Amino acid sequence: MSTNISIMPDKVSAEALILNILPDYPTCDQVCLLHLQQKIDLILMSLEAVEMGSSDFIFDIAKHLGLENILKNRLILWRLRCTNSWRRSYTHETIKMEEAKAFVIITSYRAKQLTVQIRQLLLAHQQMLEKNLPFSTHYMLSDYLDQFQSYFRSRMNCRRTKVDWYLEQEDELNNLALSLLSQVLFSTGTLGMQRLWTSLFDGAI
Amino acid sequence: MNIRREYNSPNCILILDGFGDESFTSDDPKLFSVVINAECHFLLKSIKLHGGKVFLEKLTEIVNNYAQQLLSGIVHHQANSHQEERITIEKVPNSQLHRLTHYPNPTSSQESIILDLNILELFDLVDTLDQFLIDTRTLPELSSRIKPLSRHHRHIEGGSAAKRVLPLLIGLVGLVITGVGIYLMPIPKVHRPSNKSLNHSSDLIVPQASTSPIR
Repeated sequence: MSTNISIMPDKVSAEALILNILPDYPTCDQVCLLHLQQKIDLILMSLEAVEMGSSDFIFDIAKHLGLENILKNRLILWRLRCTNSWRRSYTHETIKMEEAKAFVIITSYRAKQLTVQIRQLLLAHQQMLEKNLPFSTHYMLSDYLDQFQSYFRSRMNCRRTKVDWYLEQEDELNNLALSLLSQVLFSTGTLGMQRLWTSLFDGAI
Repeated sequence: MNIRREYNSPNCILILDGFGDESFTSDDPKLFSVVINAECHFLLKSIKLHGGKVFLEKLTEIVNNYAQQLLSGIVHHQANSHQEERITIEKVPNSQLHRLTHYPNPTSSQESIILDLNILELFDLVDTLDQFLIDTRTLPELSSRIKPLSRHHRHIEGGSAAKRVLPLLIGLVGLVITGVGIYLMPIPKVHRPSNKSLNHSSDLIVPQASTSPIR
């Protein structure tokens, strides 16, 4: 019992310490929240597509950074990601600021580990454009785009006008995937985490 | 005492030459307080941008704002005075390149330098400048200024008031025109069935007199 009492405050303070890396912004209206929830989910989806795998990295990093109290299990993760209004299983719930911060910290942390792959993909994109070749001719780039498209098709609600528009136009969906990838790249920088977090509140304060 | 500081990333190097603050002799590393020359080298392009303190301030501000613009999609307006040297970044239309232009001070004989950067080169420039901005031992007055834009900017981004009201006006005008059109249309005449057709006995089934009413 005494052990629990001594550990809990440490855990809480470590969590508060890491969340305080990102500044608190005073107000965030409904439009801003919807945008924030959507952006976080899409950026995580882009990272998953780079990983070519599951979202296990989120739990590993959350545990490593002491954020496991916020992202306790898969159900909570799924519920939080379903705050994206484009999702088939949109929950109409609102993400808390500490949860949003945890996602941004985890995204930036994982993106830094994947910097080489992200740079390779963006370099390949640039080369394909310069040579006027289709993206499908580059195996890494086409794998990333296929994976992103597959996630988008399976998770997003095609009844949403914007989602339907992306699903109808493959080029635009590829552009979205590449735009998100370049945003992930910017989150790998020296001040990347702060840049990504602050950008979520642009035009909302 | 002359001091040189360098900040690196794969495609970009920032070199700052200047003087340290002599009053803090025991500090290590020395406080870099006066910049004489700032050079920004783009390795793949073998081009450098250079200038003094104004150049460095402009470059950090413009690049910071443009990076946030790319992340959020909301335009950060680039404040530049025409009297001094200017730096601008804008997206090259119909391409994935970003055009960085350095207009030197109008009084100098230097020519403008134009650089088309791809996303990796742009990111390396942002990261190199961020390394400089978080270095508290180099020009501490130039620290990171990452701040979100106010709501006012989102409204500006949405267009002017007249532009936003236009769809509503078009809708109202359309409604009025339709209303007037319907009002001017002649009222359709009602053709009452003539007595002749009513008296046409062959079409009518007349109940027989002997039939008793159903109770």
